[in-house]
Formats: sequence, C-alpha cells, structure tokens
Amino acid sequence: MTQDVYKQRALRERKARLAAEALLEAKSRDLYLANQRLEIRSGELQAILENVPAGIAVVNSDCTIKLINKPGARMFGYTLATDLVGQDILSLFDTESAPILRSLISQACERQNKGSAQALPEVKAIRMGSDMFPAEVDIVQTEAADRSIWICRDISRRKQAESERQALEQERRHLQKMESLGTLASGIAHEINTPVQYVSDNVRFLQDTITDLFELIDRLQPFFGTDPIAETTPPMIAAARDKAEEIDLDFLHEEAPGALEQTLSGLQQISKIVTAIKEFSHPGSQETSDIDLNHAIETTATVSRNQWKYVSTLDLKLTPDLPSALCHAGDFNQVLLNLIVNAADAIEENKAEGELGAIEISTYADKGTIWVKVTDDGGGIPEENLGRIFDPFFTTKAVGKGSGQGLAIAYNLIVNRYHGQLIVDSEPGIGTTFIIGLPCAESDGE
Amino acid sequence: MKGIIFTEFLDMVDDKFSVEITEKIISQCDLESDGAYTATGTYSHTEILSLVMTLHKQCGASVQDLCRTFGAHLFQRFSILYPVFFDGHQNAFSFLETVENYIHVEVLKLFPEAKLPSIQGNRLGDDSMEVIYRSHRCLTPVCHGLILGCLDYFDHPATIEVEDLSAGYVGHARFLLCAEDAAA
Repeated sequence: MTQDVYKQRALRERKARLAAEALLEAKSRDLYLANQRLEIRSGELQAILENVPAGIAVVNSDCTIKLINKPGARMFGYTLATDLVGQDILSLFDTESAPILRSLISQACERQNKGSAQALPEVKAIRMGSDMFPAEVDIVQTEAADRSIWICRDISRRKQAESERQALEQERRHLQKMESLGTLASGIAHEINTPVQYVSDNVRFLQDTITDLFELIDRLQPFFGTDPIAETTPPMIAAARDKAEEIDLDFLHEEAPGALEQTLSGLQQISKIVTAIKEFSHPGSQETSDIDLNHAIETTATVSRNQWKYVSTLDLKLTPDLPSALCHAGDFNQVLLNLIVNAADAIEENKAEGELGAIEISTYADKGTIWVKVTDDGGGIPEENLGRIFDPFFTTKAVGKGSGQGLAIAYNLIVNRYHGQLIVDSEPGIGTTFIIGLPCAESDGE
Repeated sequence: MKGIIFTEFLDMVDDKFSVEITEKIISQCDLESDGAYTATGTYSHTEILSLVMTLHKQCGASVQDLCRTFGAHLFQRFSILYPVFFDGHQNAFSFLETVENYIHVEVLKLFPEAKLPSIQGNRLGDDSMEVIYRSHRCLTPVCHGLILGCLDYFDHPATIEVEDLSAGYVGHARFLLCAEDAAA
C-alpha cells in the first residue's frame, strides 16, 4: 500500500468512525427517549390497572394466575395481589360457573385477540372467607397464545340498582294506573248515577203502583168467599170499578211493565259498568296469560265512556274469533285506556263545542301478530313533537290534565315487556292512529 | 441501503483485488459519502452501483459476475456475523424458507428504516424450491450470489434456473432450485 493510498484509506476510515460514533450517539439518545416514553406509558398503565374498578388478571394457559391487579385482589377478598399468583382462577368462582367460564375461554381462543365477547354472562364469584357475589367476566386471548387476560367486574351494585329501578318502574306504573282510575272515577260515578236515577224513579213508581193495587184488592177482599150469584155482586163490581178509576188502573197496566223493564235495564247497565271496573282494576292473574283483546277493548271502552262520550263517538270494529295475545290483561287495559283518553283529549281540543269527533278501534290478526288500531280525528300530532311522545313526562296537555307518563309506560309495556310494537301514524290537521302489535299467544317464540 | 453492504463490498475488493484498487475505484466515483461507510449507516444504493460499474471498468469482469461473487461473499460474511440465524437448519432449502418471514423481520426490528428486498422461499417438494426475489433495485445477480453462497455454506449441491421477470425496470426474478441428488 503506497503512502497516498494509506492516507486515503486512513481518512476514509476516520470519517467512517466519526459517522459511526454519531450514529451510536443518536441511537443511544433514541433508546433513552424510547425508554423514557416506555416508563411513562408503563406508569400510566400501572395507574389504570390499579385504579380501574375491575379485576384484571393475566392467566396462564393452565388457568393459573400469573398476575392480578389490586382491585382484583380486593374484589376476591385478598389484601395482597401476590397472594393470588399461582392460584387456579377457576377456584375463585363457584362450581356452577365453571362451564360458563370454560365456554368463554374457548370463545376467546376462537376470537384470537379480536375484541371482547358480545354478551357477558353472569357468574358467581367467591369472596374469600365470606359470601358469593354476582360478577361479569370477559376473557381476551393475548397474542402470546399461552396467556389470556381476564376482566372481572363485581355487578352487585348494578343488580341492586336494576332491582330498585324495576321497583320504581312498577310503582310508577301503579301510580299511573291509580291516576287513570282517579281520572275515571268521577266519570264512572256519573255513568252509574244516571241509571241509578231512573231505576230509583221507576222503583218508586212501582212502589206506588203496588200500593194502589193492594188497595184495590183490599176493597174486593170482603167479597171473596161469598156466593158469586148473590145480591152482593152488583155492589162488588161497583166498588171495584170505583177503585179502578181512582187508581187509574189502565195507566198502571200500561206503564208498570215498562217501568219494570227500564229498572232491569238500568240495573244491567250498572252491573256492566261495575263488572268492567272490576275487570279493569283487577284483571285476575298477575302473570301474563292468553288474553282476548276484543273483550279487553270492550271493557276499557265501557269504563272510559264518560271520558269520550261528550266529545266523540267510539266505533269498535273488532274482528271476531281474534287469536289470543300473550300479555297481562291489566297492562293492556292500561295502555288502551291511555290511548282512548289521549284521543278524546285531542278531539276536545281541536273540535268546536258541540261537534262530535270520531274514535275508531279496530283489531285484526296477520302473520302471528295481533294488531289493534286506535284512530282519532283530533287534529294530529305536530311533527316537532312526534319524536318525543314516548319520552317520560313529555306532555302538551294543560297542567293537571296528565303527567305525560301514559305513552312512556305504554311503550315500555308493549315494546320492552311484551316484545310487541307501538307505532304512531299522524297527519297534522287530520288525526292520529296508534297501532299496537302483540304476538299471538300460540305463535309466541316462533 | 445499509452500510454493511458497502463495507463488505469494499472488504471483498480488498481481498479479491487489492487495497489500491479499492481506493482507486472510490476516488473515481463521485460519491456523496466519499466512500466513508459504516456498517450501521444508510447510503444511496446508486453508490454501490457506481462502485460496481467502476470496478467492472477497472478489472474487466462482467457486472453480473462481480455481483454474483459479491452475493456469495456476503452470505459467508452473514454466517460469521449473525450465526444465530443459521442455527437449527439442516440444509440450504430450510434456511432459504426463513429469510423473508424471520430474518428480515428481525432485521427490521433493529433497523426499521431499512428497505430490504423481498426474498421469498417456497418449497415445491422435498428436493426443490423456488425463491422469488423482488426489489426496487435491480440486484438480481447479488441475490443469485447469495443463493450460491447459501448452497455452498450448507454443502447442498443444487442446480439453479433463473427466470428474469423484471422486464428491465425493477428487480424481479424467480430462482428454481433442484437438489442435485434428486436431479441425478
């Protein structure tokens, strides 16, 4: 190697060395910064793990716990998370939950780190030294196939809150029902009072009639047992005729049967109203059962008569031999009552005084669903309100005329409880149709 | 292109020719780096092409031969520098199957900015396989040399048929390898 070549090579290698040193420094700095970021991220993750309101565990393929966060340890009644390391995680749950958990493990393996399960089943977890508690478990397979992440939540509070919510919901429904009955009370009293009035008048009339007839009989009594062909016959006939004239027997003869008929009719009407109220308020079983919706509609129409008869006609177009629906009669009555009262109120607001509107209730069955339509010509619902009518406490009625719970409860019952449909079709300026769809009892579950 | 290619190339020129030739070809190329290469650096691939062309003019060997020789040299060097990639392989075919999905993956962990060629080895049978080479640099002969070096390292005699699929624009070729025992 000549001197020039040597020099050239030395220069090049020096330059290469300096470049390598610079690269090394840069790499070291990058590494340091990456380490810093990693430490910060690790700290953040640690903070999340130790404060998240859930137990999070890394579990080996043999179901032993590799590590678990503090909230998880506390959840199962342990002071130190390390006390759980190496323990079989399935031993933290009751034996009945084992098949559910094993199924979750299999599903996690199939999903392979593509997110959590869609539905998390409830299991029973064991708190050390004491009771069991309801829990939700989600299992996610890590990229290292021999480990999985278990996420466990204590759902005791959630269940209690749900139970309280259901109790409140039940009370709300009961109060709404009482509110409806309260609203109906004066109307029902009026409905009953009318036939009671003329029953009472007719009975008084019949009472006087019977008194008069007995007086006539008394006048004739002395002549009973005497010889029919005697000199007493003419006076007897004269006495009877006089009495008959006095009491206006012809009139009594003509009116008494009618009075009796009216009385019986009035009593039947009262009986019908009372029966309807009884059925409306206490429809028998508290459980869902096969319900004849046509009969329920007739009952509710009777009970609510005073609410609509001054403002509207009510036309029932009920398909005969309608299949039964599976629901609670009381709930359906309540829903229908709300719809009828709303229809009547809408008509009252939109029609001129003395002008009668029209409410029509029709039923029919189609493809396993029973449809009940309640249509009114009460002017329809403004479009800006249509999206809110099923919201709890939403109302456009005057204060004191409704709490806005009727449709919200109706929706909750029909759609959520009985898996039916409640649809509104409204034409502003014309009227509204509410459509209830309930599954037929015999097709329930198909 | 990573600096190791340049440092190994210049070392090969030192060995096969002379230090003087090495310095001469560097001085005759207009290199942005001035030939001061470090193995972990990154340099334009046009510099290696320039060096190869200048060496070709200097020594008269064809560019293809020079590249193939370099490829074989490079493979031998890899076997010394990175023995961990060679552990557990019984023959060349077994090794070539791991280049794309293991070796290159590990390289990218250390040098994520590296633009590696794709060298995909697919077994066609017990005694044959194909290696598909793709690169935005037309260095098919270097890949050929690497394969020759691999066969030599594992003492795995095989015939190689080269099918150029590049149409002259990019590096794209198919190498069909048949073990010579089977061919016989």
